[in-house]
Amino acid sequence: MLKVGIIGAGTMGRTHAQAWADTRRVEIVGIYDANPSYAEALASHYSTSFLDFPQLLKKADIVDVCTPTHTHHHYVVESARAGKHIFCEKPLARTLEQGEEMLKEVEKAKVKFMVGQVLRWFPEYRKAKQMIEEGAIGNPLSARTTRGGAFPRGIADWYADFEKSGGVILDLIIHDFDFLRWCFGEVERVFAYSLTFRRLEHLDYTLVILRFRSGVVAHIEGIFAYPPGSPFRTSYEIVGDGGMLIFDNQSTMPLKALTKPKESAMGVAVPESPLAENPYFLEIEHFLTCVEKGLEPEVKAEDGFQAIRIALSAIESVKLGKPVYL
Amino acid sequence: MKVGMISFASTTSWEYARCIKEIGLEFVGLADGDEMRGKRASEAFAVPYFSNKENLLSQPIDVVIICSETAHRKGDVLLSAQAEKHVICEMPFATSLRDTQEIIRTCEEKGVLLFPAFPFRYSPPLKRAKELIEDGQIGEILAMKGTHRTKVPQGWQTKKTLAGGGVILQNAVPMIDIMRWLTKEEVAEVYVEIKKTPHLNIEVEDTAALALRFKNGIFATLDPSWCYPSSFPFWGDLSIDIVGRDGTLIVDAFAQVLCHAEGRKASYTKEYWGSDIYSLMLRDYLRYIGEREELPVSPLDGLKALEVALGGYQSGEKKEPVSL
Repeated sequence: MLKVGIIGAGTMGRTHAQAWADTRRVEIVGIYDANPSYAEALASHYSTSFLDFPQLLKKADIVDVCTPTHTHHHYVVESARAGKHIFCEKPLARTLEQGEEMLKEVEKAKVKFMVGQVLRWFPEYRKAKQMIEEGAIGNPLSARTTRGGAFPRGIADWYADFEKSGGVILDLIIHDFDFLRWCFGEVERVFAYSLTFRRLEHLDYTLVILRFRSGVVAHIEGIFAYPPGSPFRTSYEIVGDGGMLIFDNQSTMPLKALTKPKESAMGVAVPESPLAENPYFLEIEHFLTCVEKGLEPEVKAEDGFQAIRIALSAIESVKLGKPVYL
Repeated sequence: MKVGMISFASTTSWEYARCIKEIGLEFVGLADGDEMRGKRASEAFAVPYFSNKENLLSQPIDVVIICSETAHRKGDVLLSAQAEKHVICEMPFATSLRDTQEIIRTCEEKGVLLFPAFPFRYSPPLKRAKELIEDGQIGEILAMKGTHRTKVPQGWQTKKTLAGGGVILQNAVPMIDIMRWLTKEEVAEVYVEIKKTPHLNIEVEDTAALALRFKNGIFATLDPSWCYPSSFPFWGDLSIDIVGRDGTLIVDAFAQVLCHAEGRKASYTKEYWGSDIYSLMLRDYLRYIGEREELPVSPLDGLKALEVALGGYQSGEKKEPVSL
């Protein structure tokens, strides 16, 4: 049984811990977090313990990096140097230089490495990609995507620190960048507007236009702007010369629970979209299979890198007010 | 696990065959009284075709999936039970309670497991609704409103002798099962309005409205009609609203779709991307055959749903509620 060490006990650390446990094919040997109390709380849930980073590197075969974005570089590079297989949450890194070094170290160490571009395991996106490949829309011409909701509240409010998270462009619509590149190939140039540098409190919003080498034009909306408690929206429209695919998560929720919490006078409406297997489980299970069988993960290191390259170019475009060529 | 299939009459037979392949079970072969239909499936799934059911059943098969016309299911189940094969059978098992009881009794005597195919129980949205109910999130259930509507089928499903009935036997039965499964209550009374639309030129009812009262007082209606036009962008629907004392659940079990507008054919369809209920059902049933734990579904569930449906036909004739 392979041994997994998890770094970071926030939202993603919790999600991944459950996914690893659900595979029933690994032992979670320890959890590290800069704040040991978070790690201990999560560890007790999976009958494992807090380990500091060096201990964790000693014990684990696979390291899963679920920390804030700006620290991915440190943990991935050290883990690679220790010869560990690495699963790294998206986005790959905070800067291009960090990303380049990470790829170099991972390659040198000859370990399995995958970035958690989880959208590829969301069936509504996977199905669209498959249908495009089967010719459902003919030749792709353009695409529009929407993603987001309220401003995320992480530990120590790290999402609000642009130097750590990269804002809505690097943290959130990295998903759409990877998905669109998966469907349409390499991006030629990017132009973007964004509220990111207005430094508004817990508010970020961006509109990005991508031009792909194939000629496809894509429009991406990224939202960290709705009031707290707002629904998380995702949608796409993908147009080709032979047809169109349309999806909106708000109109395809199969379950709405209208209930009244005990302490509240007001009822709440909670929409859900239950699946037999959640996408986070599927991506982790895929990576585990690759480690076990020596296969190449579906998300290559290069894919993780190109996704941050598009995002960082979009941020550059916001700063310059000009299109940025990749 | 070695699997065989008898008949590709029901459209879900193609789903089950696909799942057998995808799960990686050993698909030993299929038999079908309709040779053209059987050979088409045999070619599509690259499995041997047996012109004779007995020959298929003499193979080393663990379980047989029966998807024949409703009127033929009894014969096929009895034959499989005689050959000591476990059976997964399309619903309803038969068109009468007496035949259904005979099917259940024979399987018991032969020591084979008999699974009614109720794939909707494996829909994650419906499973989640059941979880929320059992967790007390909406309190005591008071009323339900369900729909399971499809397009008008073609072929044997519209023939009285083969199908036994129309939408009440074919669409209401699985929905009645979902209501029983969610509430764990039995239906006490049923009232039904039935209609056979003349211009459709079919032998069975295409439209119905069922009103159900459960033993504990829950009331419900359910619409199983073949009401969607052929141009409708999806095969049908399965929805249920569950009104409780402390909340309501609104379920549209097949809402997980994306829309596909196609240029050349000028078509607009919805493509489902939610979880594969047929695969989930098959995997779960087979697990129980392997492990012999408590069954996830009882043949009596098939009997109970049929009993309500047949009461519905009586009610339709009498134009009065019928007590069960």
